[in-house]
Amino acid sequence: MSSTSQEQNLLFKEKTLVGVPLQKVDSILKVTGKALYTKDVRLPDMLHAKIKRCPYPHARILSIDTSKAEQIPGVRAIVTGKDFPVQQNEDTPAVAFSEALYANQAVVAVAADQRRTSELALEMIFVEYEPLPWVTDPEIAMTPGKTPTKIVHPSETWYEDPNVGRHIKIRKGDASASFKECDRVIEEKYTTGMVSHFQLEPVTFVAQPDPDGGVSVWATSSGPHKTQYELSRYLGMDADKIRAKVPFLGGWFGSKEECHVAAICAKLALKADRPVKLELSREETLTATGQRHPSVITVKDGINKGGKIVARQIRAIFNGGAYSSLGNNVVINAVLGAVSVYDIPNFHMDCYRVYTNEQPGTPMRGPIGFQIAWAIECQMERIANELGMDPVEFRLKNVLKEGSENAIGELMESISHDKVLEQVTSAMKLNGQGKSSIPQDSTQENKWVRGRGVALSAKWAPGGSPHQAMVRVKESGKVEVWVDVVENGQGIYTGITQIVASEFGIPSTDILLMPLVFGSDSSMSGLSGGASASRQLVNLGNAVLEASSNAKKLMAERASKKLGVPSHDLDVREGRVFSKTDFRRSLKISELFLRAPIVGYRTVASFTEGVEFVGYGTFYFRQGKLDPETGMTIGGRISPFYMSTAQIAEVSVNVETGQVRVEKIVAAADVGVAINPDLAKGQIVGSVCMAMGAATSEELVFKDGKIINANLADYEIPSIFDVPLVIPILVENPLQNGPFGAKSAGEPSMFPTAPAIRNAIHDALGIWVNDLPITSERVLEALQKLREN
Amino acid sequence: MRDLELNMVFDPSEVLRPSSFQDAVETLDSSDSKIVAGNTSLYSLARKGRLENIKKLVDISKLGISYIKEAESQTSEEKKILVGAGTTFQEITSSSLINGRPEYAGLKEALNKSPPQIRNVATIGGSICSAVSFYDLPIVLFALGTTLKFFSKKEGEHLITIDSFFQNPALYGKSLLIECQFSSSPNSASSFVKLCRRMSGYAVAMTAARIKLDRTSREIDDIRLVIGAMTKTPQRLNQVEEELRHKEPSIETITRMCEKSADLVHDIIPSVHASTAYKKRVLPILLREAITTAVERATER
Ligand SMILES: Cc1cc2nc3c(=O)[nH]c(=O)nc-3n(C[C@H](O)[C@H](O)[C@H](O)COP(=O)(O)OP(=O)(O)OC[C@H]3O[C@@H](n4cnc5c(N)ncnc54)[C@H](O)[C@@H]3O)c2cc1C
Repeated sequence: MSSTSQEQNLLFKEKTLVGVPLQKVDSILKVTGKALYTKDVRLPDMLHAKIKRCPYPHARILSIDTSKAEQIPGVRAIVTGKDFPVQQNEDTPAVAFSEALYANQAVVAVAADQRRTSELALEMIFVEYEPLPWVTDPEIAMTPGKTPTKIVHPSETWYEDPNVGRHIKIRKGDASASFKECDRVIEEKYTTGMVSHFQLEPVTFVAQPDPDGGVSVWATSSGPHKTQYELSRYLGMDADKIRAKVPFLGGWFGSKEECHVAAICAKLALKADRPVKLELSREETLTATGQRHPSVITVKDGINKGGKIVARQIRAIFNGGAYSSLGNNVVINAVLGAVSVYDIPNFHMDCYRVYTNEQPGTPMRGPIGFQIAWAIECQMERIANELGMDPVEFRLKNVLKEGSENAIGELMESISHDKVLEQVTSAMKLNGQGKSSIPQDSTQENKWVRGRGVALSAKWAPGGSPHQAMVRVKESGKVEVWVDVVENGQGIYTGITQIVASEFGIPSTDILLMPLVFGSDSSMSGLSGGASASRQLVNLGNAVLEASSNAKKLMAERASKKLGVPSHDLDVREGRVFSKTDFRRSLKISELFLRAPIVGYRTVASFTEGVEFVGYGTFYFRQGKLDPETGMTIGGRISPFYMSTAQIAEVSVNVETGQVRVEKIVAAADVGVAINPDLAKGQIVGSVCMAMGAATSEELVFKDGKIINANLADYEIPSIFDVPLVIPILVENPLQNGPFGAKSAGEPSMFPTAPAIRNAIHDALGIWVNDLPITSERVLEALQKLREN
Repeated sequence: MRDLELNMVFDPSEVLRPSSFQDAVETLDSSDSKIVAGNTSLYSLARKGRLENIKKLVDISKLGISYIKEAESQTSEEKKILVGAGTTFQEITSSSLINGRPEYAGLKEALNKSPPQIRNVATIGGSICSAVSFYDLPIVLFALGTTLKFFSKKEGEHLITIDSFFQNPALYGKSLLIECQFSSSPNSASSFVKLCRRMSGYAVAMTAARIKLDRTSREIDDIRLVIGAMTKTPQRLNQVEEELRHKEPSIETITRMCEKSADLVHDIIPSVHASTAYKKRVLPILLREAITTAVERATER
């Protein structure tokens, strides 16, 4: 954003939509059922695809006999691994080639006129397998001599033998030496289970062969360009011939980065030369697509007498499942999560992503950071408790301060760690008293005991991929916005609309957001890294602001002669071009346009001579790297900024059954500037509820290498009746480089919920639960342990 | 090794709506037919591939078995309620015959555990005939000592106790349930206690109790205790009942008896996130709560 427009912003403050709780621009479409989702896409002559999957956690595919299926009338195409280019990496293949590495991996796919025919054809395809040894425990998988199997991908060697797909090291100071000098050393192990995104809309694709030999794909994806370029790799096809479209998404949370499924759909369509729809069932979505990485994290801390952490050593193991896709990339988040909250002079970390025979771990809302925050915030409580210190005070004592450097050498700027903690404590009136300050329920013979717990975290905001935007100013003063923005329910269409409307000082109804009409389409807009990692509002927001500013420049140049004012003195707002120094010198935008008949005499259209008033903008944050030996950043920061977030949970625990009832959660998050406060609060509340599910009830459970609870009855996400009172608090600490000061809100509040609940349970009963989910059984076991000691 | 894990498609070609019990059971006689009531359970069986050979669905909505009424011949001691097998959960819980009556308090609690969308269509008959141990309603009906009126091709209309039904539900696979009958007597009350991982989920463990107190001595005159979601089918705890019968229902006695219960139940099956050991530990607690609640309710009468 230019400084001139910032000044104007002050002048025309009443015309800004920043900070306004505008109704979502797509809400009417959604409640009337008019919003288009991939599932709604129906094309003439469309076929329906189904996938046959491997029943073993690990097996060699000896033969696939499709001859009978091919003879079924209505079967139009069958694909196996042989239909795809030989894969040269560790990504999940579209269809297994000679070996299936996890239960329910795709082995062969069929497209037929009717879904039933496809299902029938699957029954008539005979696959011969040789079951092989398998491993699902990452600690066993990474131990030489102990692992029953080694998972080898073509053209890829492990980072470390056996099965370690990635190992990241951080070495700051000397942790081991410092432990010897500390007053106290505390070491604990924390684990988290496999959790599903459980987004409402299952993974779905529609592919249509294009007349030029290319293919168009409607995708449940977080970004059309991601799908376009990934498909290009999977199909071995020129990316320019692949058009990916992302209509509305029915929830995302990281779940739909499943281009291997899109590849099956596209391949079937190309082979059959007809459009194909491939909809995964809920069971397939849960068992055959990526879920949150389970983890085993050991944290060892050395603390001095005053309660300062002097040394920390973390060993974090993430169960990556059979392939990487995005997994080996996102483990770096373990580092970002671990270094962004506390100031610890000696910091060592080893972070591993390990291959096992489970479906691949994938990013999920605050990927990897959720697991790390769980371990660290549980550990912080443990230490505070052992030192007899107030948990809030203890955290404040160790927290990173504004302007300090974190363990990988990034400057901590625009953080609000103290502020978010203060906000939640005062909202909960905690005053360091914990349980004793809560009225306990005395009516039920104190079977339900209440407690409160706190947690503090920070979320990074990755740059990495570029985001581009284009805006076109029309004669009416309306502004068309061409961006590949993905609306997954979070409200980004509204956010982008508010940003552009504010920049032009016009009502939101004058913004023509093209994805609202066409969906996001890789062939219509500039490159965009999509919705992942809480980055759309900041990255695309900056891109549309730059595009707007460039469009304004073109208008100023055109108006300059007419007004006799140099173009740098001109700005565009509220449908006028005007001199910033003399408001009387202005003209209407329409005066910059010419009019001419377009049909006959009566139908007249407007146009500009020479270039249109179209502005382009690109936001690209060039990420640095971590030094492989020390973990210090090289060539710039990893995260452009960090967002602070804290929560306090109040829970009731049943001492007899171990049931946990989350009563209330106060959640504060630094969102920079809330472009739309209601939507920002919605993100906080949504995160808290989702994290509460992972904390208390959700986990995909494996037995004999297969998931046994891949349905809503047994997986158990919280229902509306389980959701506690959530009080969201927006902390506004503007980000200098954020659009109008905005940071992000989509993920940070996922982090503190689980540890805050666990710490509250400790406050209530004095027990420590180190494993997620905190089931009633685990609570009872911990109580038993406490009583025995 | 050949992969022959078939996942056949449920593809019924006919939906029949008979208007007489006789017609219904005639159709049921063939192995490819199945009754459908509210269809809230059946569809999930279909999805799991358990109905691959079913071609005919027998819709029972035209049989006139949606009602809840008092039996005509009532004694002052015992009041009998008749509920048609096609009656929905919602119709039962909103009935004045059930509401506000301690003897049916457990029934109402169990009915209200299901989500409203289910309550509006799921039927009492479907709930019983699903014959699983983790549905709420049958547990209470079992505790109430319900009598079931079946119609079969061979025997026509006949009555059996719910106890014998749950001993071998498979025997009734080709019969039509037409009515449930349960009765109440003065000084009796029922209760239902369910432990689940969320507010609206299937039970990890549950108990139901029906207790009748002696009018003068206030001792336990009669007691029925049933557990669900613990074993394959719902189970009565005869031994605990026996020990409590004709005892004064003090909290100490109840607690002591309940503590024994865990050892009396065999073949406890674990569920996701609740091991057999955990279920054993919570059983006495749930049982105690069910008994004390029922006693309290009966005492208040
Ligand atoms: C989303 C959801 C949530 C649920 N939550 C709960 C819950 O919280 N607690 C709970 O207890 N249950 C719950 N249920 C289960 C529900 O109670 C059962 O599905 C219901 O009771 C079945 O009744 P129905 O009328 O739909 O039976 P149907 O599905 O129509 O039939 C079930 C079975 O009974 C047979 N049958 C039906 N009627 C007769 C008859 N008259 N004679 C002989 N056989 C018959 C059918 O052939 C079939 O085998 C839930 C179900 C769903 C889908």
